[in-house]
Amino acid sequence: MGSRMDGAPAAGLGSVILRLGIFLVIAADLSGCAFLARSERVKPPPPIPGIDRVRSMTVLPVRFVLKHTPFSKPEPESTAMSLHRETVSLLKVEIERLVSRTRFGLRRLDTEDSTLLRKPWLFSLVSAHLEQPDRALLRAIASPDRALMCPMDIVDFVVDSTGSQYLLFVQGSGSYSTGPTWKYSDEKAPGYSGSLLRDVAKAILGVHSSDLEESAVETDFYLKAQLVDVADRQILWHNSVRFEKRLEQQRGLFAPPFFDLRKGKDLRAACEQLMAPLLEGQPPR
Amino acid sequence: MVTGPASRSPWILPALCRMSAAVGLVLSVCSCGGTKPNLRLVPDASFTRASLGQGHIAVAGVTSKLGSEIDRATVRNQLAGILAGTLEFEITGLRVMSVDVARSRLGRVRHARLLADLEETGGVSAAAIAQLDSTIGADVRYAVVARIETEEVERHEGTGTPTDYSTGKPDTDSGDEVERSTKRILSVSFLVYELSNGRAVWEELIRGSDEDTATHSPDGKKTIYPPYPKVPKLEGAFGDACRTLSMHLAKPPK
Repeated sequence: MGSRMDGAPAAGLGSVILRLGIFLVIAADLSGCAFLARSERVKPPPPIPGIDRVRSMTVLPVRFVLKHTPFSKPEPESTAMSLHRETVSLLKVEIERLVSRTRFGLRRLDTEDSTLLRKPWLFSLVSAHLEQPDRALLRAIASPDRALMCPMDIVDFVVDSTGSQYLLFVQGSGSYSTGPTWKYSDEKAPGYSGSLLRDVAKAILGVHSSDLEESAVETDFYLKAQLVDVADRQILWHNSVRFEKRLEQQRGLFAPPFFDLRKGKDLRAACEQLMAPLLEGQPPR
Repeated sequence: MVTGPASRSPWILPALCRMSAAVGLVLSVCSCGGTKPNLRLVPDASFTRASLGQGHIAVAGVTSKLGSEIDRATVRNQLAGILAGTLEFEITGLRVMSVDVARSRLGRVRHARLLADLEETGGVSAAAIAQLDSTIGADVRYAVVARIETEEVERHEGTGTPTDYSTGKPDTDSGDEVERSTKRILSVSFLVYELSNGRAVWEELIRGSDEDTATHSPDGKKTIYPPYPKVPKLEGAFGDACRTLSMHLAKPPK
């Protein structure tokens, strides 16, 4: 008896709570806010329309422009040229490696130095592409009538030789500094090399560490990729990454280390960041 | 022991009812999305959430007025994916046809013409809508298109007092905490057509934004400003505009 009397108010309260729950769900639904329901859902990354058709792709030769910053000590031309060649090669190899490790197959275009030496016609196609990569891209996405009016380029060769219909255009630029960070004030006030004199010179000349100007980029790196569907004449996907360090920008306690394009591990990390959305990208449901 | 729950229930019940009513009211206010839709035409009364749920809505295309030919071509497919993904995620029960399927049903050449038309005029011609209607399938009732109209970049700078995390109180001894932010703001026009009659049933101009902020903690008494962050990517601001569209779409303005 006692237990029945205990149960009745509890059941009544339970029913009230149940009704309250139903009311809240209806209120949420009617209001269109769907706040309660949405708080438990995780939004998936945006779908990439057409990506489900891509079975394989070819990475085109990478155009990379290596610039000098005004804050660098002059270097022998051969050092910069060697760094440029290594960077371009590493970027292409790394992106190809990333692609080949995913569900996409890689149809590799061999543009190694030894191959280009043996095939001068391929060398001229690659050189023309590296000189003006946007020209090949524009032709690849232009209407068939317009594309016919342009001379043949590397895209035709790749489609014919590899059978690939999906081409990855990659290009970027970067600069690095070899000089000390106070080079900037040195240029404005030559002769002041001591730290106290340098601080005074900075104050007089208006070079403040409190205002890191856009122009005072000491090192930077930019890389972008565009995946082109040659058959559909459209850019399916694109992404870009950028890293930079301003003059006198200070390392924060929790800040990541500054990017250095001379380090292979930094370049590899940049390629991974660039390609991640594509390689993990979902086709639309 | 027995009287406990029985004596609590008289005041618990009205309290719970009042609380639920208050929560319902708050949720209703939330549903307005905070901003009034900037509609460019009188919304069609027949275009409601119920009618939206009766068939598929196809993302027919997204274009931009900004940048070079390559810039404009670069964003089309990806932004169409963002629009489809956002509508599907934000509007419960909505069935969205991807731009890829719409393109394959309409045909590449005709779809390219539709996009060129959209890029140039901001809308889709009656002839293109008729073509869509006849090729896209009976399950699709509406088609949505979007065009990025304008873009602005704003930079802000501010200072504040940092918090001492050991005490949870403002730390006035260390100097000011400085932050600089860069914001990309897009104006995007969205148009929804009812395919069977070719009428535009919804046209709205929406501002979407994305912001990146860099904060610099005080360094002794010196105030050190961080560099302004780079302008956030277009996709973030466009996604924000799509979320706003999802909140407004097919709801009569109040």
